Amino acid sequence: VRTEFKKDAATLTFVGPKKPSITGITRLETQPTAINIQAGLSAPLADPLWLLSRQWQFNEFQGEDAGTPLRLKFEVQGVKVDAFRAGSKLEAPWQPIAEHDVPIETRVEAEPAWTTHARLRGEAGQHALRMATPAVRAALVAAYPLALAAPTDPDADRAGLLWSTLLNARTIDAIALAAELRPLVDNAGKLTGLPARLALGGVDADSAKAMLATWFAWLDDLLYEGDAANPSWQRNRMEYAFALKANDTRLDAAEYTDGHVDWDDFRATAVAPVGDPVRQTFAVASRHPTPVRYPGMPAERYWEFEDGNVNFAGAEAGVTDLLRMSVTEFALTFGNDWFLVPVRLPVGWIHRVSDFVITDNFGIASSANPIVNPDGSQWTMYSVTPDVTLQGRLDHALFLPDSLDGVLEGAVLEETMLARDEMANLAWAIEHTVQGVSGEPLDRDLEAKALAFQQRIAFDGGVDSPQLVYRLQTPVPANWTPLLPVRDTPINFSDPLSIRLARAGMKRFYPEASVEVIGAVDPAYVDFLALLDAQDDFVTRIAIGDGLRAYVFYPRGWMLRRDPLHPMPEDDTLVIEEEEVPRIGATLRRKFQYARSSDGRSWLWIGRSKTAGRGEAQSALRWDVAVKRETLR
Amino acid sequence: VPEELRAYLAAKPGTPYRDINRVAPNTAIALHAPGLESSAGDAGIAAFVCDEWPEFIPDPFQTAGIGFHYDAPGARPPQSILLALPPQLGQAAWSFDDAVDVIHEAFDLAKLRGVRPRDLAGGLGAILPGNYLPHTYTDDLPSVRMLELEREAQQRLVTFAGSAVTFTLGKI
Repeated sequence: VRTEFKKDAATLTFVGPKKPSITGITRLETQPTAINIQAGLSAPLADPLWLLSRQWQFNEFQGEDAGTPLRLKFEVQGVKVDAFRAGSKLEAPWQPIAEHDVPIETRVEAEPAWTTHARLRGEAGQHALRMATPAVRAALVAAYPLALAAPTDPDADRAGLLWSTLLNARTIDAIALAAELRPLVDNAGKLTGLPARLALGGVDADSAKAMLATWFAWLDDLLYEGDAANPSWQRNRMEYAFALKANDTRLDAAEYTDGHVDWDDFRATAVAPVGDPVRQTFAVASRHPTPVRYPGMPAERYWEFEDGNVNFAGAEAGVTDLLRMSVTEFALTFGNDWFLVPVRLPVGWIHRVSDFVITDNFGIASSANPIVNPDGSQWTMYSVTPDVTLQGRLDHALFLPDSLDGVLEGAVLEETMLARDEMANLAWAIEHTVQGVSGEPLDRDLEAKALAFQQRIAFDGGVDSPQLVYRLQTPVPANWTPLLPVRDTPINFSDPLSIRLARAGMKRFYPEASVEVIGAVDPAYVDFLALLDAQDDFVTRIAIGDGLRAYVFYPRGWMLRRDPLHPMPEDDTLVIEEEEVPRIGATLRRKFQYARSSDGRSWLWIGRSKTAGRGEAQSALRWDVAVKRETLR
Repeated sequence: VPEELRAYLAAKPGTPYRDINRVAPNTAIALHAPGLESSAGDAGIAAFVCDEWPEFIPDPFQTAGIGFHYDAPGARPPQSILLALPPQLGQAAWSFDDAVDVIHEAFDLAKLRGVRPRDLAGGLGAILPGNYLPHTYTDDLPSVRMLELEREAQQRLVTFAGSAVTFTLGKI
């Protein structure tokens, strides 16, 4: 009797009497013609009939209702990318992109370089001195001496000590001079006068004018100075965001971190067109397609050698590993049905194939449709992901960005690692390198040792000496800045567990030197406190009285602070999105970058990058610990 | 200049087009000497040579590719040359049907070539291939004297090897 189980009613229903049947089972089995496959694998050659027979077995004589594509006629419609917008805010203004404009990478990344790099200012000034006559040289040094003070901690900032000794007041501050020259430069690049501070007259004034005009043009080309508050930099994500626009299409790059702009950084959205777009049709009347080849492509014929470097057949796929299986299947089964035709196009345009006619060897013309997802979703593997608002306008399209090639990177000026610390329930921003007074890198790992002072008390080990040592807080290196998890205020009830990471300062307490702790006062301790007081650009002192001092250690770099040249203000906050500090962590770098654009001009700027970190950090930070005297280190 | 760029470059006169991939590299030595007097002459120059300084100028034109899927036939040319002989001696000319028959026959034979005797149903595999050699002692029929041939062969081998060796039948 056949019954049916109804899920919703949870009842068994009588459907009808069961019909009698007999099931026959046929087994399909392979019947190997030999005990081993040695003979088959060695693929020996034999008589001509055997070769034909093998070809027939491999379907090489199968007639198909198809032709080989021989000729292509196609048209590519290009729209030039004509505007740039920094940041991710929709209301930010669009800036037009001119013919030979600043490269995208430079435009997005550039930040102030002169203000952070005193050595560069001094050396650019030296160049002016080299070009000047002796009288002008003396006047320049007198009027614009470079002020490069010695570092407060010369042991940590060796480069700063060296360059301050060398350059201080011996050369001129290029930026101070350039700032006074800028209003005096006319449209032809000539100087209309000399700054009032330069007391020169007669022949000297004329030669100074000519020399300074040349030098000013050189200085302007030397470095691309960005905005201090670079709107592209997303502080809460430690990434760049920007957008490009081609007439009615907007291309958003929300997470740009790797220093190379390519089409896969962008998502496309429709916008209202402004003005006349620059359009061009690139037409090809006749061109031959070639079969697509790729490394490891299976040879389509039996007696043919394959490239052994990539072995698709060796890809091991589990039962649920559909993606890997589909790659193998594609390579083995459909590999010979893809064709490619080269087309040479200008960069900085969105190109769309508007007309595409394939003629095969029987003279039959056909076209090819764009690849679309059957479920209507927009993500595609090999083209810019378009928004639905574009209504298929970007089908068949490719964005060729005008990006730089082979960007040279200078020494890392600043390196910070973001890492989680699950044991301490914190995240850390660990500064390895920052810029010292001269702008050259300073090793903060070394410096941190100078910023720590531990008093070792020698217990005699007698019966009366203490057995337990109480610690208020275990020490953490001075270059480790805590990122504290904070809730949204007001609390977001739809996602109450979401947190963000707020940069804090590490507070440490020290007794005044006059307070007697145990034993005699170490003279090095007095120096140490004086050193902390001197470095008020990143160590803030809080008066708490009772013979105690509290110091808050802040980071020293430009990535974690708005202005590390001055003491930390109260309102300089930094809240990082929690997902930007993953388990693997993140490495942030700031460095000089140099590249040439396609018109041959060179570009030098300071940019940032974010790459994967080195996993979790363990600070062993604890409070209120009592440790046995024997285990005290 | 590629065909697709002609209209574009014509619309912008003065735009240089260079296929960077085809520019022959020239060795160039640049001497940067700020402040060096032109009259230095034979006073000698101290030079700084930078062995390698890689710089890249991106190409304002990129070679993109349009890939497309087209169901091309999988048929391939045969790997054997078929030498057709006229079916009749002294035939004046080939007829189309003869030529087609030759090709058909070749393909039929090629298919048969893949068949092994044991694949044949109905015990035929025991009989085929049909290259049987008749052998009678009485010479009633034209026959091949297998035993005699075998004996001769053995004799030759013995002479060659110098001593009598036991040979398994059929291995000579």
